[in-house]
Formats: sequence, C-alpha cells, structure tokens
Amino acid sequence: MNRSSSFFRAIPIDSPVHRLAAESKVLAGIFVSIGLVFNTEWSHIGVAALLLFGAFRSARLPLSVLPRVPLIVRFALFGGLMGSIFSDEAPKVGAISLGGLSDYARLIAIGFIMILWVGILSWTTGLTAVGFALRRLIRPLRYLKVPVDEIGSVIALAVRSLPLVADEIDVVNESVTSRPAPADHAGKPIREAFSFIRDTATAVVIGSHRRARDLSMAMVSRGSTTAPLPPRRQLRPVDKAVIAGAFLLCVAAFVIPGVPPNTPS
Amino acid sequence: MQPAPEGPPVPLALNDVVLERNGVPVTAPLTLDVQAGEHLVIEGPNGAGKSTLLDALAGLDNLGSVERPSDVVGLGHVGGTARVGQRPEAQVIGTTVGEDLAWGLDDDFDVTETLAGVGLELPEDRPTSELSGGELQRLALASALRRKPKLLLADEVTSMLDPREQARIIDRLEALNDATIVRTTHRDDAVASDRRIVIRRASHNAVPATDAEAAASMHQAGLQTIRTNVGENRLIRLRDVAYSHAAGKPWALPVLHDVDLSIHRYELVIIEGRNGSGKTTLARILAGLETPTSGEVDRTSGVRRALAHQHVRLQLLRATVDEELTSLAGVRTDRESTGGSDQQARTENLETAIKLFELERLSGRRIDELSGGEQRRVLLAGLVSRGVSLLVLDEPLAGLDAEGRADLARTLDHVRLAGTSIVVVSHDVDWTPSHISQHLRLEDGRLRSIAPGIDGTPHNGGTP
Repeated sequence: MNRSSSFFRAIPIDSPVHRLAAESKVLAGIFVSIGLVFNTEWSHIGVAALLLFGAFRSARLPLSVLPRVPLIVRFALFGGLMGSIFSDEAPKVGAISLGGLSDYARLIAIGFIMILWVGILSWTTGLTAVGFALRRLIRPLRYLKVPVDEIGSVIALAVRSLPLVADEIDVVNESVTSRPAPADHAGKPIREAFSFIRDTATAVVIGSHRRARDLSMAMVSRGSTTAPLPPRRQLRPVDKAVIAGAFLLCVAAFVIPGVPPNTPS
Repeated sequence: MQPAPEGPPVPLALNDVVLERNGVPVTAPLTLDVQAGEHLVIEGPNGAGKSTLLDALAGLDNLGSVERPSDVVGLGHVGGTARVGQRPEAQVIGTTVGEDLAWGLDDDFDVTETLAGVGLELPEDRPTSELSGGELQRLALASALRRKPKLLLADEVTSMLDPREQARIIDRLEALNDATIVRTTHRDDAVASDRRIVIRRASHNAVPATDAEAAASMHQAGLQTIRTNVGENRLIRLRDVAYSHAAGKPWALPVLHDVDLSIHRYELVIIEGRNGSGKTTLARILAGLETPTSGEVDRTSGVRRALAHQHVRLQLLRATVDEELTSLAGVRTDRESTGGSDQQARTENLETAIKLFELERLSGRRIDELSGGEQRRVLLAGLVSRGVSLLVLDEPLAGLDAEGRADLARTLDHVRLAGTSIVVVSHDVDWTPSHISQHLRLEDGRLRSIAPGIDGTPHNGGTP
C-alpha cells in the first residue's frame, strides 16, 4: 500500500453520493468543469462552489480527508499573488492592481474547485471504480472507429500500476535522499542536482521497464491483452437526474451572462 | 496472442540444449522429458535458469529448443498451458479481484468458489492494490487453475505463503491428476510422488563457492572493524510505540501497539510475523523512515540507521559496482580531494568493507550483471562503510534457495563483524541463523519474544 497519496482512496461510508454510479459522478464532473472553465465570472464560480459544498456535505466526508497543501505549492501560490498584486491590470489603487488580484483569485478558486471535484469523486468512488466508469463512458466512441478496447486496457493497466509505481518511487526517493551528499560534487550545486536527477531517473526507468515486461508476460499468460469490463448496472433515476442536472447547468452557464462581467484582457 | 490449442501441449522434450535469455546463454546443457500427467519439481540454485526453463516450456522464449507435439502451445487457453511467474504483484493484472479472474476468459463463473479453491476469501470488487503478496500469489494461481490447464507451469508460487497455506496449495496441485505440472521451488516441499529434477548452474557463470570458515578465519586475521562514532552500547530503544497508518484520516489503520524493544551493538534480531502483522512498519520505524503515532524512540546520538528493501535493485542507483560503492559510502573520487579526516575514514571503511564482503572480484562489473545476492552484498557493504550501525532488512529471504540463505547468513556475519547490528524482518519462520540475540514475533501489531536472548545479551524489555 503506498504511503504518499491521500487521493484515490475511497472512504468506506455510506452516503447518497457514495451510492451514485461512478459514471454519473464522472459525467457530472465533466459537465460542471466545462461550464466553469469557459465562464469564469464570480457568479458562476459561486454556483460551482455551492455545488461542491453541497456534494461534500451530502457525501458525509469528514474535513480530515482534505490533503494538506504542500509547502512548495504554498510558495508558488504566494509568488503568484505577489505577481498579480503588482501587475498592470486595471483598476489600480496606488501600486496595487485590483484587476490583477481579482483575476488571480478567480484562477485559484477554479483550480481548487476542480481539484476538490476530483477529490470527492475519488473519496466516494475509489480509483478502480473510476477506471471502470471511464472505460464504459468511452465505449460509444467505437462507432467512430476509436480503439476503445485498447484504450480501456491502457486505463486498466494504469490503474493497476499506479500504486506499484508510487511504491517504487518512494523506495528510490528514500534511497537517494538517505545517501550522503555526493562528495564529488561538494560545493557544486548544479552538478549535484544533475547527478540526483540522473540517479533517480535511471532507477525509475529500470523499474518501469521491468514492470512493463512483467505485465506483458502476465497478459500473454492469460491469453489476452484486453481487459474484461464487467457489464454496467442499470442507472437509477437519481443517476439520470444528476447527469441531466449537470448538463443543464453547463448549458445555463453559457446562456446566462455572469456578473460581474470579466474585463477583457 | 496465441490461437487456441488443437491438442494437449504435452509431451515435451529438451535434448541437450542450452537456454538463452536476451541472447546470453543462462543454463547448462539440459536434457529433459515431460510426459502427460507427470508432476515435476525443478530444483536448483538461484541463477541456474529455472525461470528460463519454465518460460521455454511455455513457448515464451527459446522457441526452437523445446520439442512439442504442436507449435500451438495454447498459453492462457482453457485446456492449454497456464503459467504463473515469480513476483506476485506482476502476475495479477486486473484492478479488482473479479476483473483479474475474468481476464482472458469469457465465461460465467463463481468468484467465491474459485477463490475458495486456493484458500482465499475476498470480495469480487476488492482492489488488487490492497492485497498482500501471499494473497496475490494465490489469486494468480486461481486464474491459472480456472483454465483447467493440461500443462501448468508454476514458478515459485508459494514463496510468500506461510507453511500452512503452502501445504494447502501443494495439496491442491497434487490433486490435479489429469494435468501435467512443472513447478520450481527453493524449498524442500516436493511430495513423494513428484519427480524431482535438479539443474545446476552453467559453468561460465558459476560463482566460486567461498568457504565460510576460511572467510571467517581471514577476518580474524587482522581486519579491523568499521569505525563509527557510537560510544554507547545501546543503539536504540522503543518504548510504548504505537503506529497507525494515515493517523487522523478517516481511513486510519492501527498497525502497532505497545511495542517495547531495545537493540544493542553486535546484535542480530529476528522479527517474524505473517503478512499484515505490521512488521514492515516496525522495520521503517527502526530505520527512522517513519515516526510513531505515539510512544518514544530513543536513539543514541551518532547512530546511523538504514533499511535494505526486499528488491535491492531499486536501491542501487549507479551503473557499476565501483561507482555504487563510492556513492553509498560517500567517498570522493576526484583528484581535488582535500583528504580530510572524515574522507580518510570513509575511504578506509570502504576498503575494509570491500575485503569483508569479498567484493574484490566484482570490481568493474555492471550492477545489472550481478545476481540478486551479489547486489545485496554491494548494498550492505556500501551502507556499512557509510558507518551505518543499525541495519534493518525487510524480507531478505523471499525466493532464496538453501544456497542463497547460506549466502545471506554469511553476508550478515560480515555485517556483524563490521560492528553493525542487524534486524531481519521476515514472514519466513524456518530460517534461524546462528548468533541470534533476540527472536521476536509480531502478531496483530504486538511484539512478543520467542527465544530468550543468548549469552547474557540484554533481552527485549529487560534493559536497565
């Protein structure tokens, strides 16, 4: 079991959101995201945030599921904040750019909303079920001659390999960081950084190569490279309602103008 | 993918052929015949080419070398050939238990019944990423058995199982009367009715057997131990240590309770426990890679700790043995070396370790040319010369044959001679090297002692 990720882990409790089919959650997420990404006014962000809050509450998720924002991301956020405050975007109050600040805040808000949507999806569904849902949702594309079986197998193998790769990266990472600093490069930070990247990349590539070989041998031993897909359960009325509702919201986001209107940049 | 078989894939024959892997010969000349309905056990040291032989019989490699009734092996087909390889996590390809069992077969089947056949009880939608090594091994075997194979090729399929589970699986295989079974094993678990075949290493990659006694006397003949900066006798002490995975999260999982443990210099501590007993977590806490949720870890100042993982290869990051050793030991290799006392000590430590671990003849070799045992020796030598005084090994025994175990015991002797204490964490209960100072067992996250400490070594919990 990998230690690094708190995403992609289903919380084993019962709630209306847990009971929804994975397909409806994935589709609803896609519709809401499309509506939001192309319509970034504050009113639309507000509606999406309300939806998110409602979904989080009805999923009965405790606040402790939320991952901590890594330090490096906090630094990046702070850097972005500084950059936007002192930008040239109107309106400006003295040296401070309110327009820049507003743009930045909207960008960050949308980013967090999207990440948390994925979070709710994974905490209420689990990675394997999301994998199955994605593979079922692309099935209709076979009429467009899209190789859905192959893509489906790739998704399945990715889902299978992700925790294993995360484990391997943990091992390599521990092994690299627990080594004494390369004495040859003392006082030469760039060479040290390069040797770190080289060491890590070599170990990870060797590990992945072996994993790919093992997986292909295992598939040949089963006589098939096509991942089996269990039949979909009939969608319940509530699932259909959720999908339809998300679709209507998406359309509405394009039809109804947002307030306040964004300044053209 | 292969077409469906036309007839049974047996009998098979090899007639004085050398099997190759990636164009390199890996076996001695082999002559072997496999008749329908036979149960064969292939024994032989690590590196003798047992896996290569099974892959050749499966038609995956060395195609011209095996005489068979038809070119169609029917690998993976019902009534054809089924193969289960080593490394359990690589044998299971489905994301859930149900998907894995269904992979490649288009039929209705009862998941519960299929799993019961290999002693497993798991829900169909259980993600395979949550399974232990032993569970994965049995799941892969269940997939193979579902194909009602005429020829079953099983490569070390019980290496992660405890003796009871192992006996059950062996019984299950023995009961397959109309199937031909060829399996490899490193344990002495062949049944009387099995035909046993022993293959030996090809002479060109033979490892000269080092005489353990001669090596020991060489060490006594004046090799100094590795210098560390630890003055005190006790290296580390765990008091009331408890650990919970993802503490504070809704999926928190308590794994250790009330663990008390002291480790002193020159100790060899064995901690055994079944899969899921919390032993890897304890290993990581001892190695300083994980902080307990509660309780105290008193580490004597200057004590360096390290963890050697089961798959050593991931911990070796350089291309050649020499680069790897200097990197692990933190020795400068450029000409600008200032020759500080620290550098000098490291260099001397490394020279000592190379002699102690008998690595002189590996000098100049590439890491990927080494056997698993040799890779482990390189890693441990590097860690020891870095001045690691507490070395934790996680599952070092999986897949090792008798010779590999003897080799490991010898390597650990070297480590102890160098002045480093060792903790071995393993699910394997039938390995007891000499000089054990504490033998402990982890059950449901609690530690208890099996054998008292010998020759007055302060025992677990009994330290002043």
